[in-house]
Amino acid sequence: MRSSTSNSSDRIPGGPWRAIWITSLIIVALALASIEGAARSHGHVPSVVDDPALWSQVRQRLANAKSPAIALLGASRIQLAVSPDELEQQLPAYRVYQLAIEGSSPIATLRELADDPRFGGIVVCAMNPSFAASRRHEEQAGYVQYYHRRWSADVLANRMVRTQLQQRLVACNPSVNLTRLAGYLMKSGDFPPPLHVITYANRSRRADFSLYHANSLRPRLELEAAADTTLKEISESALEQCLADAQVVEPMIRAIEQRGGAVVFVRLPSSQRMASEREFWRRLTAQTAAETIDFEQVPGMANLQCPDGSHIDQRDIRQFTWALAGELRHRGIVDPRTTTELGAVSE
Amino acid sequence: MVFNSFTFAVFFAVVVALHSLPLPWRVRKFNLLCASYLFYAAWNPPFVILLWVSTLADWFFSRAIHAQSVERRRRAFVAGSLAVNLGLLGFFKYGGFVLDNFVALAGLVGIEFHPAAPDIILPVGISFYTFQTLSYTLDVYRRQTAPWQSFLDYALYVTFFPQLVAGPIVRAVEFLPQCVQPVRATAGQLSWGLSLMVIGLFEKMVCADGIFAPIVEKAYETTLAPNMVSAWCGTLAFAGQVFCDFAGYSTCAIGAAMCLGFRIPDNFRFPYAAIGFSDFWSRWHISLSTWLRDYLFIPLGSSRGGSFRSGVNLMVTMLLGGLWHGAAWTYVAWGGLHGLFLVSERIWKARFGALKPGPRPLRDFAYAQATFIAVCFTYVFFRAEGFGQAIHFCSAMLGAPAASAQHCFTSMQMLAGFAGIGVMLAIHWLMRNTTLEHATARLPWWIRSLVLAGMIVAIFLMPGEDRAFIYFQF
Repeated sequence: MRSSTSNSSDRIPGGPWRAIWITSLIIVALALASIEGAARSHGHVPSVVDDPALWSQVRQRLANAKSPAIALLGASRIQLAVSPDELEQQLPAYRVYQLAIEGSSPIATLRELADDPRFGGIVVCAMNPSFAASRRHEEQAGYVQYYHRRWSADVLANRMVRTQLQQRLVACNPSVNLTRLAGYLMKSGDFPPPLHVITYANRSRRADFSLYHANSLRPRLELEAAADTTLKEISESALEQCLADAQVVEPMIRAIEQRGGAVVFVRLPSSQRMASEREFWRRLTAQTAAETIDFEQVPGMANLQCPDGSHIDQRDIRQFTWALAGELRHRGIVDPRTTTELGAVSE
Repeated sequence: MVFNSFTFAVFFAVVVALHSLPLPWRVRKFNLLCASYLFYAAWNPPFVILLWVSTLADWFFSRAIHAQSVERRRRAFVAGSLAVNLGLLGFFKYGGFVLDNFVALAGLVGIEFHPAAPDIILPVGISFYTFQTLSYTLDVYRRQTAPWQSFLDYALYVTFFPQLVAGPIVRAVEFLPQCVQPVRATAGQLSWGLSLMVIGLFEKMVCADGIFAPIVEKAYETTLAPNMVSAWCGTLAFAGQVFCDFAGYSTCAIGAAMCLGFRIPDNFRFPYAAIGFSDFWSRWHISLSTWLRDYLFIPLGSSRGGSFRSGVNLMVTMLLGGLWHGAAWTYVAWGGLHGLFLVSERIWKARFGALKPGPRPLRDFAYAQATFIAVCFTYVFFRAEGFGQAIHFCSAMLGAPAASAQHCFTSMQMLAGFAGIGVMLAIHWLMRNTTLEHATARLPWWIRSLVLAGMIVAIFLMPGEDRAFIYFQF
């Protein structure tokens, strides 16, 4: 039989392998301890790396939920605005699951929940004209597909170990990852500044904009804000198109409602009060079967500031979350009783 | 289960520990077989059944072929093996592709046909293990080997976890003889095996995922047309990504096998230092290129029957090689371009003589870079979402970007992309005529320590998004 392959195993390099490995491991331990210490002294804190596996883990928790559930959908704005822990404290009968995905329209996730016959909870979904546009509807489909096709016990176990490490070690935080570290050291000779956003194991996030003002992140984030399409006025024809595209969610809302659930669209705070977004919201409220909450109409939300134009600071999360909980209660979307009370009633 | 996961680290430590116990050789092989099924089942348990189907089918077909002396019946059994293996591959990998093309074809003749979208999950590694079992049956049919007597050995050959899901595609004659005598890794094998795994993980997690992938995604996962610099930066980064991803996996596989005392063949030999395309294919995905040569190109007639027939055989081989990589016409185009380059090279060689590396290193270097640039053009088709994007990229790379072309990258990303591929090309060129083992053997022990430590620290400091190995999808 012909085969031109060779085996590297036939040419094993000799040498004092025990010394090589022991020395290597000592260097690794020293280097990582030094980086960990230096990062902490520069203000870096542990942060979890968000990815499809972490999203799938939260999605699976939602699928296995015994208590009534609230799923948070949207993008970074709702991730940074709502604390699942605070919301659970405010609405003790409910467990809250953060399924928002940065920089993407939530329609694919909403469709997935609507298609899941076991889901009959409440969906709190951030919405704006850009998310409604049909060209963006599949942006979260990759995460949904990952959950349905690649999620397994192996991925879960691996993700759990990674989360444990990332929660404890700053050296695992992307703010000190190798490319960022090398970039800053080459550019300015300095250790990179901490990032202003921290992610937690439940996928909630907090943004500390005092860091944003204090260090060199500001120019980059201002550029990002300038490119944020949700902060720009849109034409009447584009607005009409977005509203027409938004019709796609109505069967999804019906499906969830038929199972005893509810869908609530939320207009999240932004620093620019755009006339076109306000108009979109007015017309969406008229055309949709879902409940709608407009931050401008809710006292606890209307006065919140967005330092970068579209995200709220960590110091305002509690206020926003409490206001959201109050609004959900006020409209009768959630049951104000606790799980124990609900259990007692059902008995 | 993937090599760059904590679960694999635990799994592998347990497997190595079990394999080192003073148990009978048969029990240790059985442990490895069970571990291999567990490794595969961790991804999607029901698909282990496909592995069993492929294993059992070729076990019985090869024995039936060997027992038969009537050629017609021997051929019928080979056809059976081909039907089972290529049937599995065809259904799971090409089912949707065939349906899409059928719908498009029907549309061309005016027939509106809207079938339900097939929801078929591609079993990981199916292209690799079906080719591996097929090679065994074909070798028996060609009387190049006799059927192996131990089913346990044979099942382990098909299922051996280091190479199961993304190669190298190991031949039976290379693996099965290793199952006869008890093997256990020596201290040197274990150390070098672990070193290879660190090198492979460094290639995958730091180079492919950390440095190149974000650049590639920015260039290719957008609706914007790139300008010339962005198209080159994105494509060069993809050349870096696909090599580091796949060679990283192969290096890990070889290392993992070595830690268990087994030898599996090299799959890459610094391909970006290739001078010419036949040289490239003797250095890139060697186990596939030799498979295609031995089981497709040679049976088609090889170079017999004149230069035209030889060219046709080469084109057919490369087109099918392209299709093996994925169910899309862009992969076929990728294979077709490589076929055209190989045919052109043959014509050149016939007219002007072979390009042999010689005393003029600068000329050789220029030829190597020309080869690499041509290979980069083929990568555009390999990576692009469709022909439209591929044509945009090729036009931009040739200096004719679209009118709406934009610059995609920050200066740091450009630096990372160009510097990364520059370093890789330099390493490939310097290592062109040597091996990793020889180069390592020449280094003082403390430099080896520093390099290993540097790689481990870099792996630890690259906690990026969890990206699957590119070749898993094939």
